[in-house]
Amino acid sequence: MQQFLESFLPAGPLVVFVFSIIPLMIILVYALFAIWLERKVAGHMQDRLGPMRTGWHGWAQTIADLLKMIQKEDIVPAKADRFLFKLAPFIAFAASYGAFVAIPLSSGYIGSMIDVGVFYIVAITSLLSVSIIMAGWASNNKWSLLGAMRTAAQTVSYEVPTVVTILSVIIVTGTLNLMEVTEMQTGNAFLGFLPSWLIFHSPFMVIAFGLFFIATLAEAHRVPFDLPESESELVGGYQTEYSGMRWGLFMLTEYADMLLLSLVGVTLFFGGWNSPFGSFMEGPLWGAFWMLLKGMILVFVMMWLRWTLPRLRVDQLMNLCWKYLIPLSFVNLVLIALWEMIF
Amino acid sequence: MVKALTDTYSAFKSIFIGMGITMRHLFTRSVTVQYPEVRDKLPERVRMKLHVNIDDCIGCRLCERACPVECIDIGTIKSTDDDDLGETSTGHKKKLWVDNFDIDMAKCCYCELCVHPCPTNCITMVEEYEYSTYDRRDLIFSFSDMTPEQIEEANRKLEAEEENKRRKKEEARLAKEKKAAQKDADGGGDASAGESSTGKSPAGKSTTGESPFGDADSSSAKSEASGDADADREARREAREARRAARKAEREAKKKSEE
Repeated sequence: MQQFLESFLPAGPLVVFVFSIIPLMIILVYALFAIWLERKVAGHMQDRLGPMRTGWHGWAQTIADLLKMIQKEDIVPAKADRFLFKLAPFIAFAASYGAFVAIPLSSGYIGSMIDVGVFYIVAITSLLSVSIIMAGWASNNKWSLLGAMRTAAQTVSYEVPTVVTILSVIIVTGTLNLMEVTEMQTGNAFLGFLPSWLIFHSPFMVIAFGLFFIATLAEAHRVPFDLPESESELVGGYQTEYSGMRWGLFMLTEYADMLLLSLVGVTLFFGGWNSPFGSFMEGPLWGAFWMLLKGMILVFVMMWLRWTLPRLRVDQLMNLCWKYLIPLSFVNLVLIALWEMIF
Repeated sequence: MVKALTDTYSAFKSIFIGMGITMRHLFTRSVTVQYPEVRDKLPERVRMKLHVNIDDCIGCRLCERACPVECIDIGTIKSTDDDDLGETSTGHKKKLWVDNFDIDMAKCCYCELCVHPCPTNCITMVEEYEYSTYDRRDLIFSFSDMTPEQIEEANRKLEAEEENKRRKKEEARLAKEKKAAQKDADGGGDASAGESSTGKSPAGKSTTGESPFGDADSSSAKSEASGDADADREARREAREARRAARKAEREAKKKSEE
């Protein structure tokens, strides 16, 4: 990819800039689409229509909202900690954007071929909770602080099952580099026709994926685990005092996070940029298409769950994590390790 | 352990059932009505806005009297004999100019009590519900089609005719008195009786002659004021209020007498 860019751009910082801005472009376009999709999905699941006025079936609604948010006054509460208050949304977005560096978007594009890819993603996404605590604390608002405290508890708890399920996948792959993980899943070996994705590797991988998906749902603060925001009880949680484009950045972060965790899930369990039809429709561009399509399907499932399930109570949230997810993920880890030893 | 497993099973089962339901609703037809383009069919006999077909109005004021909140305000002028106002579509003879027919939809309580008494069915509820305004004074709908000039004309004609009639009456009375006096003079030859009657007559004439003069004065003052539209409206409003107060007093008196 970098060589391809260097073939028509002067070498140096410009190539690096264009190279590193590609995921940002994808995130921005995806966010416009995903927010619209979320509204349409929400509307139709409730037998409504959702946005209908801006363009065909309201496709430009997010753009209109964006224009509105840019025009809004930038309000910082008088008693807030100005520096932290202004810094928090940027750290939040930087955390989720920074994680995209280790994700192979296609066979021809990965931000950095670091060998600790998954580990790096797990590490940098926990910066997100730092930024949320920062936002909640700096707002000097009780709702915000409550939301931030819930985030701290939630993220710290749910990182355990996430990491353990990722670890169980790593036992199978033997590498942390996501590009290598994806390359391992190329081909249609299982049972003759199934793609050799890790989800088909063993029945325990299905359980691992289930645990991983639930845990990432909590990591992305999506319903039913949206306690940090929980607009019906905490007004807006850590977002209460934010308005305009700063709030927009938090929103962008939420959607970028959804995509990020979906892409990690896709890479670990569903063959990343591999085509489901073997060598049919393969190549760097088709790879990007398959990667994003699979990611969008998982994002859609997240939206689907959002409009199906009610929010958990704080104690239920902790119950679910510590009493069910963590023991199950450890048992699953041991079982996958045994499977690997036997076969 | 067993409990944990059964709990997990029931949790997943209910989650998948719920997801099935939402997925089904995702593909069912939505119930939204795209309002300004698509409208719900309204039921029969909806009560939304009053409309008056002023061509059919005979100025009987039954609707005004029926209104419990007094949101209808009607002013009428008697038509003169030489004017023919024609007939309504229901065959009623129109005898009054309706110079003022205001309905204040801000006061209206949509009871439809005014609609039923109307003998010519000219006041009706219509299916129009998008008439909100920024100023509640804009909710007073005027249905009278008479221009201020026409109203003035009608007033003038009526006054002229009334004066005419009065004069005729007076003349008839004078002639009668004269006749009687002559009869008296012819019969009794009493001079003093004749003298008294002739002495009376100019005084009587002057008193009756004064009132039309005064009326003309006031009417001219009115027409002067009508140059200023606001003052005219103010005057009309005052007149209306006075009428209303009179009617109210009348009604109360009636009520009292009934009690």
